[in-house]
Amino acid sequence: MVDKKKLHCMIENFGADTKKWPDSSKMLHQHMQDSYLSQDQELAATLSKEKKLDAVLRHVYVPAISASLAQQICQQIRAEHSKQKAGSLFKFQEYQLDTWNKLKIWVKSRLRAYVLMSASLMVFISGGWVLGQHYQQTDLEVGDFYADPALIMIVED
Amino acid sequence: MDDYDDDSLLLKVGAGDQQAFKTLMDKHIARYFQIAYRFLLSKHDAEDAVQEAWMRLWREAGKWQNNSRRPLSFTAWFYRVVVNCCLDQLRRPKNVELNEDIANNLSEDKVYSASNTVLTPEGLAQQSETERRVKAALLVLPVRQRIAFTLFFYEGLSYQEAASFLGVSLKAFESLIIRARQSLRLRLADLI
Repeated sequence: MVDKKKLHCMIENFGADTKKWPDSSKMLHQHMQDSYLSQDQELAATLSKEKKLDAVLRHVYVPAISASLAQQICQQIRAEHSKQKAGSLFKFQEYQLDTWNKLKIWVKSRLRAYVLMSASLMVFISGGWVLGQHYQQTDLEVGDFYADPALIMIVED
Repeated sequence: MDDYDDDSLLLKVGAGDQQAFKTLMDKHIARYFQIAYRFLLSKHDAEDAVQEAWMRLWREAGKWQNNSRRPLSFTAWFYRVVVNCCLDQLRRPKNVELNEDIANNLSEDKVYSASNTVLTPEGLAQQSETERRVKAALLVLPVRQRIAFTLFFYEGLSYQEAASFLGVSLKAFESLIIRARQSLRLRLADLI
């Protein structure tokens, strides 16, 4: 036996299209259900009312999408893509810069050490040479005794 | 590029292929705009939501399939993205104010002036009184009811699909549909 009241509820709840009713709510075989609905006047009236509601609800006009929207999105994507690229490039440069800086610091420290070492060596050598020159002038050579008669007299005395 | 299916194109987009993105967008943008418009009933808001959805696709295409144990098709995945963008758009304060405004106007039988605030002037000139009434009635529905009804009635999704997109049980979804339909019948009673 078909529950008329329940069918009435079903039409109001889920619309005139019985195929769109949830599986759990289907009480009869589709074909039997449809024939029963068309035979019963009360249900047929409810059905036509719901069909009208469905038709009214279909009156929602969708405007055309703006032609520039797709272009705008593409531009945004391109901008984002180049930003991402620049970001990755910057990271790479950052890495390179870091390596380059490290190398520079290392070379500088080595150079400084070598320069300081050679400079101190130079200072040491030149100091020695100057000192050597100074003391060399005051020293008496053997030949001096023969050249200077006064010195010869001292030696003889 | 046209020979590729949507899922392959999405994989290419994930790898940063701009041409694949353009192909995918040209193919689907109108359809997803239509869906967003039916949710939001405002061209401007729908375009904003669609733009945001495609930007999300560009940013998150790489995560598609990688993060899910059961991979989704492009359609199912992007449907969710669009629905989420529409929900974000609806959560913005201006929409809440607009909906409340319309609801107040409806209760005072000022349906037409209420819908004027939502529609663009060009659209308003072309659209019939019935359409304005339907839009106003849809806008008064709570957000979840409106989305559920749109997915089921306008998009023709099955109960299972629509319920999964909204993240609710089948029974809860059926209940949303019943309440939405009751509310719409009540508001559009004089037109049927």
